[in-house]
Amino acid sequence: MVVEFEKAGITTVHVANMTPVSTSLGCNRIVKSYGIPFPYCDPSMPEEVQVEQRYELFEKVLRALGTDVIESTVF
Amino acid sequence: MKKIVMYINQFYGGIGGEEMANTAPSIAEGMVGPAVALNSMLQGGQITHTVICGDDYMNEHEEDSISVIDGFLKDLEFDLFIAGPAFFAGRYGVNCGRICRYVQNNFHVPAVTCMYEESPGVDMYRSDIYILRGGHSGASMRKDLKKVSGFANKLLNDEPILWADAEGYFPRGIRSQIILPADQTADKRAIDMLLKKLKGEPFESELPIELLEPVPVPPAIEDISKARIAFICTGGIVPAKNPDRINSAGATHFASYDLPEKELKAGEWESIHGGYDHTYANADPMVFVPVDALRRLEGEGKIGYLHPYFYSTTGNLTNLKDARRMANEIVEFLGKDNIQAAVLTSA
Repeated sequence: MVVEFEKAGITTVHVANMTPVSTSLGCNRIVKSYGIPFPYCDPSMPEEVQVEQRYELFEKVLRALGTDVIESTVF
Repeated sequence: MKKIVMYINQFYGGIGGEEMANTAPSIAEGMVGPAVALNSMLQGGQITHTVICGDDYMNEHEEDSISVIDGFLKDLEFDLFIAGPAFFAGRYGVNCGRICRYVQNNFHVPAVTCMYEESPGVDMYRSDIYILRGGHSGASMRKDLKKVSGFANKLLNDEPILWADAEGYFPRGIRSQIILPADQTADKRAIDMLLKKLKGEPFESELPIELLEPVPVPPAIEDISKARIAFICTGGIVPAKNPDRINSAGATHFASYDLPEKELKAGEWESIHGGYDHTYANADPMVFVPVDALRRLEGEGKIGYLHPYFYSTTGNLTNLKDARRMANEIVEFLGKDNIQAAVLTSA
């Protein structure tokens, strides 16, 4: 799906855990998630920490959106 | 009698389902799960050990898992390594491919696995190892084991291995020369093919040329604080009771939901994705759709504009055609709202 968004000219970030799969499919901007069942934060951490983890991971997503890439890049 | 080591996941290893996908690798003496049936089909070889590893664990701790499995195998003598069959499973297919390649390269024995053509493991590892063409689901277990045993028996008995289509594995990109009889020389085959083409009859190219259309990389967003961003999730996060009946596997449609002002509350939302343990997502749906983070960043002026809906479906065993179609349907909605950037979150 990410490749279709990119074909349409939409700058896209794929947040995923299996980053080699994402690269092999041609995704250009990839942010590695915390885990397959919990992408944005680590549920073993206290709630306050999880809140910050979600915030910081999405900040990384924003950075990836704002970065020039020429090939598949994992941020 | 030649010796074989087999690799399977936590489910086929009888450890458990998704809730045990985070199980670290272990090795058992003898045969576990499908190794039992496979062993009965082998001629000239015996499965001496079974390695079992959780599908999430190997994906999330790739180096550690490989290092631990390397430790298990180091002191063993074996002549062949078999993994799977993985059918259409995303994580299992990738793990089978990954461990087969590692074992083949570091232990210098042939490694074989088997999976469905749309499993991501195929494209990633087909050039490195033998991946037999497998069925779509666990219902094909018996058939796939027969395929694996047939091929394994050839390897065990030093029989010549033929080209991909003849043996039923995915082409590895290796070309070998064979001499055909005089009545089948290239000139005759070329004329035959041309005649078929001219008559509009079906023909098969001996060397399929794949034209990959290069996709230009979309530009970086110059000023994120002005960016119009949309959120899409294939983790299967839906309102409780799944009113839009999104499929837990093989999704053919998606739903759009209002992006809340503050948060997604446990109990109001649930996960219906068939490919991972829902415990965490059900306890806090924001592990997949971080609304609190999105709204905080928007409030701080770090995101220009958030599309008012988020798009939800499952990425579990979605076939390529449906995934592409859904993506293009979403592109239309995003276009109408002048969205420049999209974030797609997968399990």
